[in-house]
Amino acid sequence: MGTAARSRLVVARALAVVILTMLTAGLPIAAAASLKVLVRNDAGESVADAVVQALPRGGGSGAASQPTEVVIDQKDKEFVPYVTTVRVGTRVKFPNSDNIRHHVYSFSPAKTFAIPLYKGLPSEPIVFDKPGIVALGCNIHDWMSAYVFVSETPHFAMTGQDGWTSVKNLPAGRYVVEVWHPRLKGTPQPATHEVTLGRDENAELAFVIEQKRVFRAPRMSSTTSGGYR
Amino acid sequence: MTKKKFCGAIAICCVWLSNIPFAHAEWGERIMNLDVRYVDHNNINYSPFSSDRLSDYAVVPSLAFGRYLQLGDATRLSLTGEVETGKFGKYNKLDYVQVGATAGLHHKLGLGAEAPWVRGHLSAWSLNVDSDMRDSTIYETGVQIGKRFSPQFDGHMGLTYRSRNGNSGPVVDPSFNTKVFDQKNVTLSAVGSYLLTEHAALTFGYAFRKGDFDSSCTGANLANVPAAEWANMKALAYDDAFKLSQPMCAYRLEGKTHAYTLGFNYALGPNASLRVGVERQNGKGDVLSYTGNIVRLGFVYRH
Repeated sequence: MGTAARSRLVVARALAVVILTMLTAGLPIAAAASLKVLVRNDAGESVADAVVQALPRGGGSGAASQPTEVVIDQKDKEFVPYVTTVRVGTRVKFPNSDNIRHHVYSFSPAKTFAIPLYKGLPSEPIVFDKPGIVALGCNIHDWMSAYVFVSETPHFAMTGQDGWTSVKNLPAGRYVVEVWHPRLKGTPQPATHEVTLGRDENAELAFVIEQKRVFRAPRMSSTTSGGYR
Repeated sequence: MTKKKFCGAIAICCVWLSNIPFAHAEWGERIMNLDVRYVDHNNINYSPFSSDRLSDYAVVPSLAFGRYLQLGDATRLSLTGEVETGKFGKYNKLDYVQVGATAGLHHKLGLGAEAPWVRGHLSAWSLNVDSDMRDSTIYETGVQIGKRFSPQFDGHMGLTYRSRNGNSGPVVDPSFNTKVFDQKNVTLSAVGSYLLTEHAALTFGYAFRKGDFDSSCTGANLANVPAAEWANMKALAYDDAFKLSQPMCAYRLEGKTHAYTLGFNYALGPNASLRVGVERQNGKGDVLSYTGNIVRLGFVYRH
């Protein structure tokens, strides 16, 4: 091969590398970082149903994704599950599995809505189109309550009974990791931690949160009428 | 309660009901409430004389069963049948069975757990007591308003009219009517409940009752009743419920009673709770004071 041909080959290879780098810059890296998080309270107990979300530092909500559908059921006069995490734009269905009617509502600024008395499945799901925390109630059964955490990023997860959860497929970068729980003291501001993740890094974080007492309207009235006289 | 007043109460309810759109009326959940109480009263005959005060205890199980009819988004009607019985420890002639029914209309004035509510009810019971003069037909109607002020605190106020139609008793003085248990009274009450924890609640209440009440005392003490109190007496009869060395007399008069209650509830689960409470009753006729202390222990189950 002549000198000119060798030079052309070197330039072509270099160009290929540059073009490939440019093409792959915006794509998710096959081996991405993950973040394992433990949430405990100040008594050292594991906290279940804590929402963990990783917000990219410097803005950007992460890759856009197709809106999905999620179900929050009503069984035995309780919402199931108690805490649901969704991405902005998710459609939430509220089937009523009880044989009595419920009246679902929320006053939360992130999503104010009401589904008047119904049985079965309402005709249209509710679209949660703003980030924030949505508190749900039933106007017939005052003790029924649940929460929807609407995340602006696709990087979120919820702790299990052991207090652990994993947020996966994180691109390398700096993140503000937030934890929220219905009983978090200082709600609605979540507890936060900053972390920098390298490519393929599996990091671990532990949060200790202060929990407040939460009182739900009791299922039974506490008062009773007088005695036999 | 006269027929006129009872019909008037029904008419008011019908006017209220006629303004509610019934297009979506549907039967809702069933009601099954079981209540078992131990009640201890230190002045069960409500005597104004300390030498005559008799104490006794009773076990009182009761059952209410029925169903809700959801009339609209914020309005429901409850229809219940009720059975209650009382077994006394010492004075068995006070043992009773009470059977009846209640219709209650509950309306929420807004959306959410802290929206105020209003409730009206009509009740009718048949009371059968071993002491025949106490057998009665009882009618009651009332209205309550209430609100949950915070996740921990809720309260309600109520106004109740009660009419009891009793039987005649043995004659003491022919110039007196012997229907001691024909009684009518009005009660204004206020009750609050405060959650101490998710399972424990403190309850407190006050009731003011104006109208008829009954008292029993020995014949010797009856002679000590001041003239002004005699003038207020509306009925008098021998009382067969209390077998003592000397006969007891029961009388009916009009007066005012203040009742103060304090209680503690502990939830055993979503449907059951244990309750303990005390009540202090301070009654006043024209001259004499009638006081009583009641302690209640109970188990409640709600379906």
